[in-house]
Amino acid sequence: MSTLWSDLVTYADPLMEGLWVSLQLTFMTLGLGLPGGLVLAIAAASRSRAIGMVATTLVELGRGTPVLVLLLLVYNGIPLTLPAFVAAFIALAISTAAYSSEIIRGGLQAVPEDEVEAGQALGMSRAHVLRDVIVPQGLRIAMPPLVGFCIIMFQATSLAYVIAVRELTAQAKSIANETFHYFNLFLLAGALYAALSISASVLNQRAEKRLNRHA
Amino acid sequence: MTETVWGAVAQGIVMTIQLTVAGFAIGAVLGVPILALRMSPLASLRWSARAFIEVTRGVPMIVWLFLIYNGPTQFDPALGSVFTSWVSAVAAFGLVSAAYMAEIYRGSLRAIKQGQYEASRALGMSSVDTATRVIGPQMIRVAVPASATYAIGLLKDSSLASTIGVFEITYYANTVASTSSSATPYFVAGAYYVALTLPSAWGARRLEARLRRGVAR
Repeated sequence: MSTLWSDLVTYADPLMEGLWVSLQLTFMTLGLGLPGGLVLAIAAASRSRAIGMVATTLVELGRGTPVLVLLLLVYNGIPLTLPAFVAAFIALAISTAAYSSEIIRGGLQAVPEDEVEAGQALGMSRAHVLRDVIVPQGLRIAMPPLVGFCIIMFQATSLAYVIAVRELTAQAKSIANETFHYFNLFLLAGALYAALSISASVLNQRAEKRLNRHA
Repeated sequence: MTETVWGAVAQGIVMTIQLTVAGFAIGAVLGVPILALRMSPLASLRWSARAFIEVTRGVPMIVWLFLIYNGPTQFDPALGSVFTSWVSAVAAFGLVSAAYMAEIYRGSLRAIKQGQYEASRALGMSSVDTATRVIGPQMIRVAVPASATYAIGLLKDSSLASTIGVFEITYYANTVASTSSSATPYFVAGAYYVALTLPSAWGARRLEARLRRGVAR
């Protein structure tokens, strides 16, 4: 137990650096992946069957392939060699887009039909109804599960370790490989992940209760 | 060349399925006592179950794998032969699944109407009978879709076991990719995972429909 404390003190800096990389990766992934998910969700509900089929196929392929395989594929499979961080960011964003599109689609479908009819009765175009009626309300409905999913993606950034992105898991592993303090280092890394994930999900639950207060 | 890649990566399919089934089975069974603790009248038990669930789900699977596989060797290198790749992977998947399954069970328990309990009590049924004959069967029916979704997710998560050297699909893809220096094996691996998840999803829907048969809604 004393070694755990001394490991914490000694390696706090590299671990925090790793955590910072994990967080950067998370935010960049979500920044690209969530808008991608919205586009896929809208495309999947498109009136054009071709667009709908393409979007659905992309979503199913993205969800059917493990994130780890996507990571290895983007890192090794593209003719040009991407920096590991960029490859991780692209692979995680693809996965985010595929999964979040299903969550967003659920939200968009939950917007009452009356709202759409009311918009049309006011002479709004289809695009206008989509932009100002369906999307804002649908996203609001989808918000709690979407935030829950973002927390899962934060944890999924740990996979970037396999292509040598220097995030939290990679830092813990490289320190452990030198000191053989595997248990301590992974315990510390795990505690950091858990602390952030749990606090984020507690905040999410509070926000959800707040949103539902007047519903 | 490509035919041998398909064959080489296919060597891992059985292991991927075994890992998924073993991890899910442990989770599905352990989820029940965890649920019981989570719903316990004693606040301390309730809170410890809740803490277990939150912490287990709050740590990424890969960290669990390393913690169980590499962790014990810090104390005694000989423990490495106890926590082999396979044992560690099954333990990690079982542990995490148990936490998720307990939450799925809890969700389906909440879907059962209060009137069911009252009716059982009115009929003079014991609490054990109520649980096993009235609430349990209905709960399973509600829990099937979410459990199936989780199991399919676990099938894909089993790819992480390659990082601790379990010979499953991704492991073989890595091996072939490193010897042939091409990315084809990863496409092949992706195709196998998609091919495995599609029939699982179909099977789950069939099971769901079957359980629903003859039930008034």
